Amino acid sequence: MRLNFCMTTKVKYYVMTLLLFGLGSIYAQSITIKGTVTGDGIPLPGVNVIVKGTTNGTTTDFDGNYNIKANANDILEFSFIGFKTKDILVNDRNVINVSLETDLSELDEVIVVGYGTQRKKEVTGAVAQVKAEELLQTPVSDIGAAIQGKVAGVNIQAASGRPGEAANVQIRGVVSINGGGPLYVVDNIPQDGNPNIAPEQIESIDILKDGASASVYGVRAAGGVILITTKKGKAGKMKVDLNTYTGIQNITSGTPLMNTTEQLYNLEVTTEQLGTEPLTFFFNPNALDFDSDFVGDVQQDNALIQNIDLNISGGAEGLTFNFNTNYFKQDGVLLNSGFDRLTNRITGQFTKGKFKAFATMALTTENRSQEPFALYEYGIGQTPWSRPLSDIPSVGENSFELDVDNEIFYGFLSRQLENVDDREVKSNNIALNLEYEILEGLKYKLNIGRNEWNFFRKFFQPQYLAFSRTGVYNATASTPNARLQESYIFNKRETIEHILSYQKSLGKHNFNLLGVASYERQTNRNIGVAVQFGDDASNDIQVLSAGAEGIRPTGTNFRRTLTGKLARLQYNYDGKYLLSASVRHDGSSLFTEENRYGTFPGFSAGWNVHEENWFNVGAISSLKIRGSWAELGFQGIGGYPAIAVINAGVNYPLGTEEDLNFGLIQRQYVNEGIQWETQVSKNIGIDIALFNNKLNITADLYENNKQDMLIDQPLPRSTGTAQPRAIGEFNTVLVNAGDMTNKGIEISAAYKGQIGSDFKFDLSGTFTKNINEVTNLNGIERGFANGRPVTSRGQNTEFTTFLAVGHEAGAFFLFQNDGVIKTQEELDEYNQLDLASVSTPQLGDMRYKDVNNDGKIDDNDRAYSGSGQPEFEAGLNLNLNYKNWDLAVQSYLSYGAEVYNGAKLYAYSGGRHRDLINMWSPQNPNSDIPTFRQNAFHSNVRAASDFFLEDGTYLRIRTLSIGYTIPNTKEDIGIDKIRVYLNSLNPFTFTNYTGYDPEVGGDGLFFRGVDAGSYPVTRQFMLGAQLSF
Amino acid sequence: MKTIQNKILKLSLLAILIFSSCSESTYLEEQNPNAITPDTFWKSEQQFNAALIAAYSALQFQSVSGGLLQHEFVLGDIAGTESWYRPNAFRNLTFNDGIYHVTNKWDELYIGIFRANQVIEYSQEADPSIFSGNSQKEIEGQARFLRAFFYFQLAHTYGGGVIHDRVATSEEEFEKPFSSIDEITSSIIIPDLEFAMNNLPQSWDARNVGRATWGAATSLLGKVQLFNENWNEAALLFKDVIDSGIYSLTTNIEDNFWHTNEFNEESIFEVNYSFDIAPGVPGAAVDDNSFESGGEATTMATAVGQLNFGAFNTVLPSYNLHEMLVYDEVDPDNPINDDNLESRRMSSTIVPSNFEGLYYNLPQGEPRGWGFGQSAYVKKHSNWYHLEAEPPLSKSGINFRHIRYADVLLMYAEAVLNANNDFATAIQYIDMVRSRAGVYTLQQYMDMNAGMFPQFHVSKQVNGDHPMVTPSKETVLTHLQRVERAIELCFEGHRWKDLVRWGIVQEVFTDLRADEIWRQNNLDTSGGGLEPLFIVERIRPDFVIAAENYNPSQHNYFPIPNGEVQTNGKLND
Repeated sequence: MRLNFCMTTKVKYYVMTLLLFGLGSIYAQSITIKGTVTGDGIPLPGVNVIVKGTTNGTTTDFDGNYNIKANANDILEFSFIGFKTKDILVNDRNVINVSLETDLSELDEVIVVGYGTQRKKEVTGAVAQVKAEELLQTPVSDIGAAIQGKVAGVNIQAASGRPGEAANVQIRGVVSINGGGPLYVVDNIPQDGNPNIAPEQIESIDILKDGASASVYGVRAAGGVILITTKKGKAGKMKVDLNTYTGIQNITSGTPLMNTTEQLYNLEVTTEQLGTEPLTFFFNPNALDFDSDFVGDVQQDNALIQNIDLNISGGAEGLTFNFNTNYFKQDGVLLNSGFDRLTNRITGQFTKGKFKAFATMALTTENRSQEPFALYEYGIGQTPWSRPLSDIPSVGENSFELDVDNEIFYGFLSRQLENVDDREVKSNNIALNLEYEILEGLKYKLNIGRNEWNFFRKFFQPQYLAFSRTGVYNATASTPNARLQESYIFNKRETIEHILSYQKSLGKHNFNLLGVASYERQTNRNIGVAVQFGDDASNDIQVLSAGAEGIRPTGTNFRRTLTGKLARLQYNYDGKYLLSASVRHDGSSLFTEENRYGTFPGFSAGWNVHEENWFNVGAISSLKIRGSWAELGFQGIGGYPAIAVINAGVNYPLGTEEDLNFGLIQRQYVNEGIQWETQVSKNIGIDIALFNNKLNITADLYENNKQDMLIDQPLPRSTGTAQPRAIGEFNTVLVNAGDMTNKGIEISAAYKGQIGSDFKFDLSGTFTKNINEVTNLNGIERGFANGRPVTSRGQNTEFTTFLAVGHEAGAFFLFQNDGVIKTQEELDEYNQLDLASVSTPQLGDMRYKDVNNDGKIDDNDRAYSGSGQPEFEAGLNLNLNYKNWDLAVQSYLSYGAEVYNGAKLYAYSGGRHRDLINMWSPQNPNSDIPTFRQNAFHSNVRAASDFFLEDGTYLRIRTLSIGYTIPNTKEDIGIDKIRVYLNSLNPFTFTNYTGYDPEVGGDGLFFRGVDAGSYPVTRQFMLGAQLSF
Repeated sequence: MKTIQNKILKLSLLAILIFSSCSESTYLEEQNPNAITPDTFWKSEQQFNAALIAAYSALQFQSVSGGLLQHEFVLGDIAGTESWYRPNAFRNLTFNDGIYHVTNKWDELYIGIFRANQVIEYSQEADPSIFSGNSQKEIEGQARFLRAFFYFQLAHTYGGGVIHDRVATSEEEFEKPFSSIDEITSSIIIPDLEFAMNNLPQSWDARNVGRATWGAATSLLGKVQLFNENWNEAALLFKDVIDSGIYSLTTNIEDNFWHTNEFNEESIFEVNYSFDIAPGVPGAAVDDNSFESGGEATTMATAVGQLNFGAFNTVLPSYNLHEMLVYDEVDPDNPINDDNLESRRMSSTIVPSNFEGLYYNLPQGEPRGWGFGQSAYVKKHSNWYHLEAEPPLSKSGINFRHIRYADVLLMYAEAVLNANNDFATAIQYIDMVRSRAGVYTLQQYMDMNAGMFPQFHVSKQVNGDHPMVTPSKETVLTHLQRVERAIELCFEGHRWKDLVRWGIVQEVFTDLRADEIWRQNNLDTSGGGLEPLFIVERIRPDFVIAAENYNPSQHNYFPIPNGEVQTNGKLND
């Protein structure tokens, strides 16, 4: 219908033109000119048409038609975002059809700035954009990983190498002591955490780095905002893109362990010092038969990775659509782990007159299998003379002969490998944007969003009956009765936003006013059920109904609401002087009534210096200076933090019949006075384009001061809130008690060059230096300990990271090892100190420094030892195109971070590390390796020791890809483009770190740089093909 | 005109849409649907009772009454362990301020204190009319008994502690300085126990058995006075308990260590554990948390039971204890005995390789074990008497008796001995305990040996024979310290505290290390081991490190856990 109407209009004009010419009348004054403006062959609505030198102007309608009065010798100026402005002399014509050329100048790129778009030229904040092509250069499933090193000021570290795990994204440093990352907004709808969208479905990612830009999102914006725009269709030809790749993953390094011979030697040396002998052959007469590599056995090198993506887009004027389906599958390099994701997204745009509608709908199913708990550590811990996992003899139904010295410890590993731990996430996201132009320039927009995120986990521990080599049943090494646990989380988030915008130009004064009223509600239900199976149940029937006995179910509900009101003015004078001011007022149900509301203002200004008449530097194509100031909030806390509760589940049986009495008690403290934390952000930036826009440089200086940070303050243990097996659950109180600054500089530069007509290249680089400093902790100098570097030993492993005034958040504070005690004199000297808090030393033990000189070695002797935050990071990306060949190299440097090698600690404390061959002994009295004392918590191997801290600097070739586009396919087989490519992710890493991998993002704060036997980041090699037709 | 009307209409519609959405303050008001709040609690007797139950529940924590006490068991002279077992750090005195048990025990005792504080404080403030009869005082009395019990454990484990005696109302109150044993005793433990004595009943009905009683409070206060060396006060309190007629020794000593006949006539304060409640929940889980449901069982049996029966045997009887129990000589005329060669006390406490009867349903010779220097295993608190192996999930339902009548009798003996050198009375009370065990009493030995009795703690195997001594304050006290309390009350949580208060740790370690060296030099290499312990293959060096490194100021009490040092800024104020 639309199409037909368009054609008839064209016909009409054609007829009219003929008629007019036919009449032959010529008027000198004020004629009416009509016409259609197109760009890329499509009619362009909203194009500004101005009679040059006057205020007389109009805009094209939705079919690109315009209608203006002008004099015969006037000049009409046609301008539109993203297209080059065109001047046309009327020259007595009544019909002027104009085709605008796309403007490739970066300055005219459309940037999404939150509740609207701006031309890059008009942007006053620090906003970085990553486009689809750049995203897809790194073949990964996670958007964070896809932009690592590409945006200055955005630090991205893999949380771990586990398939499907989102990377840790920090914009301009640590967001909050209480954790937290950026706010993600997908097609105008704010999300709860990383939405885990397939990079293939994204048109562009715009990152609001500075406070003023982000402050339109108020209380959630302190961590910066990541705006994701999904792919939209274009009217015209239907386009089909198919992209697929397949690859393998390798583990690049590991923890060096002793083999059987070495281990036997070490045990001999260890036990001799205790006046005894090893019991190896007593417990395991066959010890010499094996030399097992358990770590190798729980790893799966060359695990497969596959991706297939199909994108169909097209449409007609007024109605366009894009459909994308993506399937990604990654097997884990640790046994029993893997991830796959099937995601479908359809977006459609509909335009009729003054009404515009946009809808996006995504359906995603993710499946994850998780490797058994602490698999790597249990792999390290096994003795090499134990029978390998693949060789365990079955001795009947679900029965296994554990022919080893320690059936129970071996059972931890062998039993767990039989577990089924499947997690399924089903999510659907619907976003609907409706827009209506009420009056000229005045638009009302309604955003409705609804996200559902449902999680289902099945955890099945099958029956596993362990028998010793003499056939004796060991119940403790067994799972005598299978157990099935199912957990469900139903999470729903609804958003409704009313937006009123008004755009007006008065001569060279351009105004853009915006008002937003926003309401959000999130509801969350958690359910956990479990059953224990009977003795004779089959391991194959894994449903709740097959269980013999129920275990008490758990269930909790949460709901939180948020309201926001925003007003914003964007103003510019002639594109030269730019100004933006906004204020947002938010209310949150997380806080009590008195502390519920917060107001967050933001201001920014810019000056396009090159637009000044006096500016005349040939080399400089454009120059903009920007500055901004804003106040933002952060409320990244969950549950009902301001409401004290009386807990159940603290029962006790009384009486001779053991009648269970139900207890109720307050188990934790709360702070009813908490409110959101605030951040004052300042930013100065400069954008320069040189040599005809070939070289673009952007540099920003920023300072973010965080105040009243929400901190989970650990209470003294003596308050009676530290619950074994639930550490961290009850023993913290949320307080607004801290100030922190992030200061930094970020520079990015890009050069586009061409040599001859065949050789094109892009070279771009980023540099980021962020200085994070905790400036106040409410009177506490150092506290808030965290960062246990071992996974499987629970709360007895000491903390490594702290918050301390004057240092980075999550810095390492460790005991300073002072070498091994080698002589009696040294031992006597060390014994002069009060050593009640450390293991009583012997020759061969590690000595620690009395840092505070109080004559006592205790927790106050920890000293600052660096942190997991790098001193600076840099990225360097190169793209080369030569004829049909393309080559892309991306590299990433992280300099100056420290990494705590938790796996090394584990291997030392379990007596498995290869260093221990050379440990101190009376026969080897000069060794610097402390003696193994067969005690995982001995002070020689305390987690708080700096002995296990290493330099985590690394330079990594992040991706290396080479592609070839087959020529002439259009002509030969009717396919527009066929490109085949080889891609390697992380092909080379240069580092001194001795663990798995120095990229240890952890939780972004306390676990940044704490390598607690983390899931390794892998090297990947992929072969792929792209097809477009 | 029409267009203007049209515009006004559109704008007002819009305004209605935006501003009529909902009342914001109602929209933002969210109640926690998951739990009740303190504002609605503390309003009825039933609620106070539920809170009191929560305080009792803290007794079940594994470092207070459960399996993690294994670490304490190996500290003194009654047990050793293998070098690869966790308790070894305690055996060798190489524990530190961040190790399990040192940290857990502190946390768990303070959970109990926090809960008891709530009950005490709110019941004192509560409207008396919500309580029936004497229940307000009884509830407070129980809570104060529990608080005193937790503080007693704390003070004598850590050499003091941080005093929290009410619910913190401000941030300042979270942090408190470290107080000495004396300060805690005089400001908390004694007033609490006196209140409890005055307000608690002598007994509870069958459905409420297990709650604190007058007898428990009086016995604990006696113990406090004993630890303070206020011998007369201690003696008077114990005598009150003895004379009350409420308690007596059970005929069968094993009734104190088995899941049958719990809360019997000998039990004064006992922590209830149940195997049957909460199936599928591991023994180590006590209270609910976000990740798991709590249960009511103990891991103790899995800690002490034998490795070949689904347990870990991390606590191995010391050779000294084993030998003393071998010479715990059966009195054939005692009606409790039935041709048994092992004393009832031995057969309910440890299992040597030449054991009598069945062990996990197997006769002597059939179970594996007793190799490599492991001369015996602990039977006390394990399920050897009715199961074929320890059940999975480290669960056991055997109650833990913190105070039993035999202990009171021996403490009374100690008190009178020190108060007025009354060794005759002391012997009389010691002999009550020996007689129940079915072994010769000291009096019988004296009658048989011209007024002398043997010193069982001196190894007969090493020294040829037990030295004989005449009774005196010193010799009877030595017997009480080195022999009677060790063999009667071993693995019940008393031993290390006793050795420390007596100040005889170094002496004991030195003696036992010397025996160890002798045993090493005289190890039978033929295979069967020497009588009476039949140690094969090696001598386990339990005391090699401890005897050399023991330093009272460093090892008598645990260091303050580093978690407290890190979070309590006023610790050293």
